[in-house]
Amino acid sequence: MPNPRLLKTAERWKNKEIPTEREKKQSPVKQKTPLFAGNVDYSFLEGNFGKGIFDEYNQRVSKDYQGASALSVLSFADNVVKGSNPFAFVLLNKILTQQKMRVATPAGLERALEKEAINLRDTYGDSGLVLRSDGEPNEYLARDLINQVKQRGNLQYPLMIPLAGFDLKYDSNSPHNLTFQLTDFSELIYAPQLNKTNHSKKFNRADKQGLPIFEDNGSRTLHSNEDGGLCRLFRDRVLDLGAGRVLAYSGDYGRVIVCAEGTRAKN
Amino acid sequence: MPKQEKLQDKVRGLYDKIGSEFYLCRDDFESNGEKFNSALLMGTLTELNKGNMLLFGEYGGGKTTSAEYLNSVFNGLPLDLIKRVAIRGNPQLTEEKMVGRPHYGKMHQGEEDVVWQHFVLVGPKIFDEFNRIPESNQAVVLNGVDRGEWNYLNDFVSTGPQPFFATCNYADRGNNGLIPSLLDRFDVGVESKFPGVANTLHIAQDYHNDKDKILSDPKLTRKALEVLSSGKSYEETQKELEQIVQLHDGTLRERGFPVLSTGDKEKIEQEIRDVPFDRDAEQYFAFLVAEMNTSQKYGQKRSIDPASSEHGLYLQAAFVGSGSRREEKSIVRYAKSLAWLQDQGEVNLDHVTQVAPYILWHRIKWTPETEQAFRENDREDPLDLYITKTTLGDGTNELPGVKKRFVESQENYQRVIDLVGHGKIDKALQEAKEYAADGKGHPIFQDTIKDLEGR
Repeated sequence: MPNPRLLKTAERWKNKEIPTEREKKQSPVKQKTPLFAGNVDYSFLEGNFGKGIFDEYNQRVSKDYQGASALSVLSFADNVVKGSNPFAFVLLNKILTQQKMRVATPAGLERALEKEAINLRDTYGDSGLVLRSDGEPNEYLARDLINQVKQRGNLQYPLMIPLAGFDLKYDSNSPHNLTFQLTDFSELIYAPQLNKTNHSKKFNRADKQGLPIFEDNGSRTLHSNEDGGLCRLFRDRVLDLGAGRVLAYSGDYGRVIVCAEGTRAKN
Repeated sequence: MPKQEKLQDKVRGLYDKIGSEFYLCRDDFESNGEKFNSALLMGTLTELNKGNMLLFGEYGGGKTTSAEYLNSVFNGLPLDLIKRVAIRGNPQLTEEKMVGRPHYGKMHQGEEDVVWQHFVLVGPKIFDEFNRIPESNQAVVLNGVDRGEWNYLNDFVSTGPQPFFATCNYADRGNNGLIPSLLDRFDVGVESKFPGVANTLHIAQDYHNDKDKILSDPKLTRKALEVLSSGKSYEETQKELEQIVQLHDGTLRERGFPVLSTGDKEKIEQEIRDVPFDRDAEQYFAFLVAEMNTSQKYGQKRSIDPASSEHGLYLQAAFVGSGSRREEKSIVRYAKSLAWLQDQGEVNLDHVTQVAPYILWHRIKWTPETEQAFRENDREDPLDLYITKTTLGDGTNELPGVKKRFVESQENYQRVIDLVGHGKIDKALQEAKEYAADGKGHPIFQDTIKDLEGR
């Protein structure tokens, strides 16, 4: 028996019309077709393909990462995988690479936006990590990453590393029980554009590496208000770029952008 | 026949008079396009709905002063009386000094009787430097603050709700934390802010608070103190105090102050009660309540459980503890009072979203992670208030706020409500489950599912 107080409240709040049957809800953003930028296909993780990846992702979270909470953030609703944080992106990338695909890099995303290959408005998504020092925020992860970077040569801050080149390791000492691992595919990109001094600067487009080219009258904004530690590089719902500290956060309007060379079957 | 002045105009007249002549301040609060000073506005609303307000700030920042002016002009009591009956907090303050003491004369004759402190007998109250009393003694004033009921020995006085102001300095070696259960009994908290250089230069020239003379009346104050010390019953004392108020009202009128009669105040209280919420305002309130009190992981929010973001970074994941029924009542009372003051027929979304942070910030214990995420940001408010305003509003790029989530999910929630309202319970349940997305959707849907399933 439903709570009579809810029924009473609904009586007061209801619209006159009974809601019509919902249309099969599209992804919150409409895709342009064909989704090509050059010979690369950009899409959200959607349809049966997306569901298959999502199911495998959840199995891997339980099996390989002991159900780490920072990974248990994705959902499949309205026919699309929803949610985004750097940890989830890296694991998804591991799964996608088995299918000859990967999550989009900052550079790839910017190219896709330039060519209007995909409409990313009203969604947000991650694309990289920004390493600035061995301090806070995210000191543990920053120190761990710095040790790995140092083994490869000189370290110059700030360093931007696309998520598509990372692996993920379970580490019970880490605040999120996870650490980022460099791989042979990791790109280490010196990114002075992401210095705190450039916080709030405007831009319209990005360079070859996906980093902003500042213009006074740009329509997009860089939000880069940190000067230390490890941050996530993400694109927000109005296409601004941000480098923020809360690594594990994932919201409903987060989207994973998959890119595949050539075409793949759509469902 | 002269047009009758609206009660709102009288109250605004008092607000303006205090703000322009006595408690000089800057506007830092906006509701429906109109600007106010938060401390003065919340103080005014506290007078209207007989609430409890905490005033935070630096030494000499005007906390006590603002409360004294408010209590004086809104209650027709001489300012010197208000100052005389206020309690000044200190570590040695006992129940006997705050609430009541045995009647020593009668005690020697073997009789038990209570002499109530002036603080209890007078209507509107001020407790200065409240956090200088130790935590163990704070419990003594719990009931009085909450219900207007004061107990000593086997006697009690029930004053009913009365405006209550408590001032607190920011943490230093001389003060203590306030216990959470007491914090929850304060409807609203504000900061008495630096009023700006120009206002400060003006205040500095007021040698010995000369301006206060206009609100003071030493003769009436002496008379009032005699009444308060007379040992007469509470009811008789109130009747005699009322006569003093009427005398003082006459003086205030002559000095150009709008005056609120007892009848005016009763009418205001009734009118405020009758202001309804519009649908957006009430639904936002429902979303806020859901985010503060539910937990997909632990069934509900509890102070003994850690904050968990496992099912999404909703407000519940950002603080330890839970909402309380008192704070929800405070939001309703203060939002209605503000809508009434702005002479609007309904409480709208702006009233709720602007008022709610001031109701919640002193009650919420943010997690260290949340504090860390906001600590370095540029801001105008104390950190806790800043976090509360941000997380109840649109939020940040990384941490969207309750209002943003409300805007995103309201359409789906309304669909569920429409289905329920038209009797399609099964369909409503099905859609609520879809929107709940296995616990990762908005907590309002989880809660609605429980209501629909009769759990």
